[in-house]
Amino acid sequence: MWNYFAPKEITWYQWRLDGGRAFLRKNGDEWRLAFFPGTYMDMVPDSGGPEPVDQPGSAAVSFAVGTGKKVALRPHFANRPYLITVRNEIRLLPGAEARFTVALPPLLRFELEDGTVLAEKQLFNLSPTWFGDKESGDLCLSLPLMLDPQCKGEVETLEATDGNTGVDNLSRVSECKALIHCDIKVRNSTKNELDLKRIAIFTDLMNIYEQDGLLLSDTVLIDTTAEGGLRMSVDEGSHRNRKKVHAGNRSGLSELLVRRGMKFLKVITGM
Amino acid sequence: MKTEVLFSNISTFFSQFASGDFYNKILGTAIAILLVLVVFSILNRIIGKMAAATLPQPRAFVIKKVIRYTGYVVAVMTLFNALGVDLSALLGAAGIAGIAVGFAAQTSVSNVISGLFLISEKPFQIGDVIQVGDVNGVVQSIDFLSIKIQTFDNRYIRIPNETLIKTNVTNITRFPIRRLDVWVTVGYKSDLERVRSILLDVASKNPYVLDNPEPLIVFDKFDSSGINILLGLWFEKSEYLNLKNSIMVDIHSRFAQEGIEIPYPKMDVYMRQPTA
Repeated sequence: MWNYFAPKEITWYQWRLDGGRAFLRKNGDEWRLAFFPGTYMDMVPDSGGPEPVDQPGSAAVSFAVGTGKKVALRPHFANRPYLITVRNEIRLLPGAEARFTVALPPLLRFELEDGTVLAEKQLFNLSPTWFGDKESGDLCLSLPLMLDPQCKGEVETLEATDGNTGVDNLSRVSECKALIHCDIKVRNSTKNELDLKRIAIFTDLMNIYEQDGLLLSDTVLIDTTAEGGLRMSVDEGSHRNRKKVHAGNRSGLSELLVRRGMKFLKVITGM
Repeated sequence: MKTEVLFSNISTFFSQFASGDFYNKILGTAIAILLVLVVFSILNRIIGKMAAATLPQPRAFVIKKVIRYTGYVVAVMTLFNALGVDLSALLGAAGIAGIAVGFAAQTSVSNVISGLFLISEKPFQIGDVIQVGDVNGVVQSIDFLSIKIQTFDNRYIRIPNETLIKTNVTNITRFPIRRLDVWVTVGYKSDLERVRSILLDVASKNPYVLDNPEPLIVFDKFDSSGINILLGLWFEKSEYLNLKNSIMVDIHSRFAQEGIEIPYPKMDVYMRQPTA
């Protein structure tokens, strides 16, 4: 689904993206592109493509002009951090660790082989949210879901207000091949309790891999330090041998502490 | 006799042009002035680059100006010294002239000093949107005597620095997010809890409203026509117009859809019949 291919002239191609759709048509140097983003909460595990179709339906079509033979629909992380809320406030005791799994909607780009971007669109329209205080912070994309922690492999089975259990949600999302599956570990290394409310994922340094059609990202590690600070790092080890479809920025740092600032990172867990 | 003295003085004056010492002196003075100007020019560039890299633009601008004018003063003093001009009398005259100029230019001097305070205090920077009195606009430049603003209807306004020091200046874009306060009045027969949930729903569906900080709803007062409600919506500062226009439309259409009355001032008039 994410590989480069040489489209036939004057033929519409469609990618099914778990509720969203993308379309492409080539006519010489003219490219016609369209996206139908869909809604995060209405996603259905149905992905595939490129496959020829008649028309892109009601999706708005944009144009690009450029020479190129092969094109691909490529997944990237959104331009803004993702923000996730936990279902109920979680208290992490000293030394405890909580794990979460989340499926992030990617930023989709039609790219030529030389890296030229013809068009891009966020899969699923997400609402903006602010992560920080009133004087400084980051504009983030808010995922409209409540995360449940997974301790020792157990999945939370309490029924949510929308009628779905954690099991239903996870099983539905786990089959979605257009979403980026991300593991998050939050560890409390201090001697005090840590109340967890919201988690922000800064994707600057993260890679995206592909395995059996699924998109996987590096594991996000959020750790409190003994001095009372916070540290977010990226663990590349678990997927190192897999095919990489997106490479994060190489800044020489594996931690975002220096780049983001101490005061701001404390807001991650409501400290 | 007097004629002879005059001719003698004139002859002495012109004879110095024939001597080599005079031209040596002129050349030496010219080289000294040139050296002073070149040194200060190089100093200006070096310090200017360092200041531009580390300090805000207005401060760097002031520093470069100070260095340049200091260079001019040193060059002029070098020239006077080379010509043998006694500066003490000149300084005395300059002092008296300074007092006269000071009285005449006190407003300008006040503006300059106010400008220095503004640069050090940094209530706003170039590119910020500020409000001074009834003037709103984007700061284009911060200069010695005044600041220049470009209004949203594309007018160019010059505001003296003294005015800024003396009045309230609102920096609208200082912080990254702002709150838009929308006042809504609903009729007395309205179900307020239902109104609250509708307003929150409208806010959650608007693409410019941030869900954190959460929208604020305050039931303000029982007014003459209805109940006043404050709806405070947080947004990223660049989306002001988009939010303001879209939220008004959203609230209006949603209230119409839900059958919620937005009352307007009414008056009941009783006509008293005149007694026969």
